[in-house]
Amino acid sequence: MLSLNKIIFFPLKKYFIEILILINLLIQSLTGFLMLFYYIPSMEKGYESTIFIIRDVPLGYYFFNIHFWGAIFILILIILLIFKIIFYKLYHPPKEILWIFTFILFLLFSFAYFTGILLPMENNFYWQVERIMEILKEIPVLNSIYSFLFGNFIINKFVHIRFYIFHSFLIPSFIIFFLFLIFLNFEREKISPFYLHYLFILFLILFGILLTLSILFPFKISEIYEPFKTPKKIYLPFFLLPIYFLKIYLPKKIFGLIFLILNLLIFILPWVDKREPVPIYKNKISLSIFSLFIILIFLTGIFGFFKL
Amino acid sequence: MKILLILIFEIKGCMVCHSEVREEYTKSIHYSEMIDCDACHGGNKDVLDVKGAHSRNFVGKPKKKDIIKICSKCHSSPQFMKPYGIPFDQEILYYTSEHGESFKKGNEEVAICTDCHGIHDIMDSKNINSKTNILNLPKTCGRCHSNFNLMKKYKISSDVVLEYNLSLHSERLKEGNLNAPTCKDCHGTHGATPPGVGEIEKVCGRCHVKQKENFLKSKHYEVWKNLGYGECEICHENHLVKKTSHNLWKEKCILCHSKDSKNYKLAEEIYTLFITSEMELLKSEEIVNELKKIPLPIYDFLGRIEEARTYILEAQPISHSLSIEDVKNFIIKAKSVADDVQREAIRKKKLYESRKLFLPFFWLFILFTISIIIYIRKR
Repeated sequence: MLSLNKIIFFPLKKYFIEILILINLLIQSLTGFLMLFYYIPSMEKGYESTIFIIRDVPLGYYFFNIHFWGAIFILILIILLIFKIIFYKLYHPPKEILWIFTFILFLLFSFAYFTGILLPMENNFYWQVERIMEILKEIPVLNSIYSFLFGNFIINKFVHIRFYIFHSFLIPSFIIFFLFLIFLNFEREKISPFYLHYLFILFLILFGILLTLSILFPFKISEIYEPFKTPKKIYLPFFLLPIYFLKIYLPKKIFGLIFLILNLLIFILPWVDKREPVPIYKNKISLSIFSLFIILIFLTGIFGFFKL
Repeated sequence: MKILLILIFEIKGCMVCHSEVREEYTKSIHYSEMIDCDACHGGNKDVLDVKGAHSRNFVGKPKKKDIIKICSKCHSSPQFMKPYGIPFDQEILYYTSEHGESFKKGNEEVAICTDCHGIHDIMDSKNINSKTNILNLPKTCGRCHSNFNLMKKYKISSDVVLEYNLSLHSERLKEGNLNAPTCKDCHGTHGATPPGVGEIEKVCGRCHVKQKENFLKSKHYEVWKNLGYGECEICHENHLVKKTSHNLWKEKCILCHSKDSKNYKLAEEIYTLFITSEMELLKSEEIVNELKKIPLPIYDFLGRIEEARTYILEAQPISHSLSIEDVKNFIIKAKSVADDVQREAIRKKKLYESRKLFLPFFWLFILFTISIIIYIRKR
């Protein structure tokens, strides 16, 4: 008979963040799938049906809020994963493909956030989308990709339905595909019989955290979107704050180019950094550069937040 | 030249010479119903020379005293008017009116047919450009009734149209409610007379049925009738009818009753009843709005608040009878509904907030599961 301890699987400690992302993705797909039953993909009915989900659907309140907090969590996890890969220099050949997939995964998750917040047609989210579009407009290659996918930088019913399709079907399938590719490259080992139990505990804890957050700090849904009335303050998701800071302080024409070059530099890290793959904390210079990099990101993020 | 006009523009008859009337006349209902110039002015329209055209009992420009006769030639004839579905008693009605009576006495300043309906450009009153259309009526009457010098002679106020234009009735009319009263609805059309004392309640009561019913029960009705005072307009004005508020109980009653009198205290009591019930309603609305923002289902509450508001609305016409018991009946109903809504909404909000209590149990469950797994492993 098949015994659990004979199965070869990914070591839990080594790939903790990746497995957390997988569990979080499971929660996101579950809650998102259940909300799909009641959501009406149209500019007029979107807000109404979202309110209906939160207010009238049994447990709809939890689905919505867990999906909302889960989205923020998954973005935090993917950024942590990127830092982890840089920190342990896991991008070295022959693992450079892992690095590229992780980077693409980050782009996909942020794109899922961007398309997802338009769907409720709620005023704050609507203006967040407008602001993100303003940033996207300035970045050379991304804006052409965006224009190709969605037409112009305008929100109308066609764009809305495309956002819906991207958020609910296309992006999730791409994410699953790339996550599968990442996991395909992982080392495996014989797992203990308690491997699944631990996965269950992880799931419970993550679910518990999301549930606690959604009960204590539920998303306060405001009025329906008003395209001709700009609110006093438009918030941005935390991972876009450093980019927003760059957008404010750099001249308009250079910002997009600099942003693209920075991205490209991070992207081609495996081919630039050809030193021995030693973790960063063993080399003082690398450690100081890395910590300076993180502090810079944090500082720009905080300044960006106050400039909103 | 005349032949050219006839051939190219198909202009025939009187219009060949009297082209200045053509534009006005072609707008009129008489033109579209093919009533030609000769019906009023006489003459022969088929002849093109001046002499021939102005023959055959030619009237020319009729004098003011003849105009009514000319109009009533057709408009008092049942055979003529029946196909169009127009009443044919306008002439008789006109002579019963204040305008008609004065005209009979030889006063040529008063309004006759053409003053209200126009001369050549007489249109169907359903036409929005017609002078007698509901929307244009205040302006048409105002041509004389806003004329200070003219009205001074007859000792009539020349502010009536201005007052009407500021009134709630006019506001409703401008909003597009064609049932809102204009001049004609209270004063009549051809039999235009001001409603006298003892009639106003009938005129207002045509629309405000409940108010009239209850006013007739009140002490005011008998007393004011004997004293020869007015009726509705004492509190609500005649032309400057404003939207009523509960403050009317304080503003108007004090005009006749002294502050210490029993009757003024009754008015104050009714005022307090209305205001307290409105406050209760506002309070419950506030709580329900809080629930709406969360969002929690509130359809039931909205319906019941509407019910309470209906009770207050019902109490308003009943208050015209000045019977505090009758008013109280409705106000108590409104208050109890508002109270119920408040209580239940607060309970619902507390239930929503009690979700937090569920969290410790959930975490206990998680800890319990984890400890069981660790326990199994250690064994």
